[in-house]
Amino acid sequence: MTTSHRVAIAPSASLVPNIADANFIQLRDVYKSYGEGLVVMDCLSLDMRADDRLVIIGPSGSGKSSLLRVMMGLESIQGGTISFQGKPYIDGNSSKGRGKPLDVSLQTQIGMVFQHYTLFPHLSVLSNLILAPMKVHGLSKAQATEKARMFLARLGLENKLNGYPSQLSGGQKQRVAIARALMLEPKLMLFDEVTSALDPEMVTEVQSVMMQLAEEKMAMIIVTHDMHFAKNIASRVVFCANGKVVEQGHPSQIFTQPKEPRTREFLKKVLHLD
Amino acid sequence: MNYQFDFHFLSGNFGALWDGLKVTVQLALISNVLGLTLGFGLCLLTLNRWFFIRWPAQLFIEFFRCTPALLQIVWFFYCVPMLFNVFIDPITMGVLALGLNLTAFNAEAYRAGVQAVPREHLDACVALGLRRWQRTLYVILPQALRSALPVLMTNGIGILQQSALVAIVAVADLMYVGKSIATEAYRPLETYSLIALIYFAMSLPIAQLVQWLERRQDVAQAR
Repeated sequence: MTTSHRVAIAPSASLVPNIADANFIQLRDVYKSYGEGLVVMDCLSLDMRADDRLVIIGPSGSGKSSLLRVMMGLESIQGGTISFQGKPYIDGNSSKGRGKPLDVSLQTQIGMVFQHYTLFPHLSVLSNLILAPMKVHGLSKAQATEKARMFLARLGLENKLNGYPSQLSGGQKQRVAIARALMLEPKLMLFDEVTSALDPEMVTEVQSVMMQLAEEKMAMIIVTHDMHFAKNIASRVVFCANGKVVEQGHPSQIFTQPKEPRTREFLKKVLHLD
Repeated sequence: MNYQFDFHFLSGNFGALWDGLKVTVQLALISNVLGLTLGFGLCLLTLNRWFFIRWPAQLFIEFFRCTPALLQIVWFFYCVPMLFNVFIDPITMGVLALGLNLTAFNAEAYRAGVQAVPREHLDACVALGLRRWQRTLYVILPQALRSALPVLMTNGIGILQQSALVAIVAVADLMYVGKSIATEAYRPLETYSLIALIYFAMSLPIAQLVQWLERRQDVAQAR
């Protein structure tokens, strides 16, 4: 992993959540299904500390991405509760919020990067970065531009400021997408298979940006199929199957001495494929 | 055919033709402004999740798509004053009929453009905290407009041609003026040829522009 330019990419120290905060995120008995047949989260409970970097692994259809999408407010839950920074965030047990975030101000403290490129093609890199800070956080154009310059410089993309997404490589696009999410100074970052659509030679540049964020103690939840990367970045690995948390623990434990047979079986399969 | 062409009589009618041309351009431009703005609004209505909003919007579109434009204009002229007891000047009436017709067709063009915006972009908007109207204004509209532009412009030229239909209800547009001159001078061949040439000259550059845009979009997509 190349971390040659070790400059902070998180905007300020105040961003880093209080390490002592063990109640950063609490999921309690979260239930979500698509129609009758497909249950993707089945009484799922999970805790996350503010200094955690959770990597979620598991077979496809095990609700990994759904968990991220629910946290981001893209999808609703039908049961259970989720709290964020000690405050009620999503309530699936009552009709309040219809299983989506109750509090927009909490929701805007979460940033997300997706598998497919989501840079807006009609806007320049700069405009992609400053759109939300200006419209959502009320920054002036000058302030937002200043901030965007700083982020792009730290990611080594300052010469792409006025370029358009179509002129960037896949890896550059994902790095800009990460910068765009960081512009809003999130307290939690969600990464949904962000390197899955990339050519192999571009995976590293994106992963090293994420490693840099990890060193700056950014709280993150990462869904990935890259077990090697999972081992490197995770503070805790969570293995999910059939909508439940089967096993969780430190990466060295999960990858070398998994307790549950299901975990062993899964790891045997994916590590063989590698 | 031993017809003797004679264009001299037209020189005395340039003023009238110019006035007619101005009316035609006015009809086409205002109809396009209406069609481009209301069309997007109508498109959003047809994509609304509530049936009782979606359904009337769709009905509006089908009404304009499934009846002749000539009939729509005539209907507006004769029926609107009778039904609603309002009397509006003929040009405004023509603009309304043409503009609403274009609104219906443009709504369909916009809809294809809106549906071409990738779902992930909408997710990204939520993740960025953009509100629904901000998402529509800053992300969906520009992308939809860009991909729908060739069709919108083709529809726009179409309405320039169809504006000639208002001559039937005595709006003094280019067609109407031409018809009067042709009848007065007994020179339909010269007059109508000239009128056709004027419509052609106005439309051709826009049609060429559409082709150029489409080629450019194809190149961009191939990249």
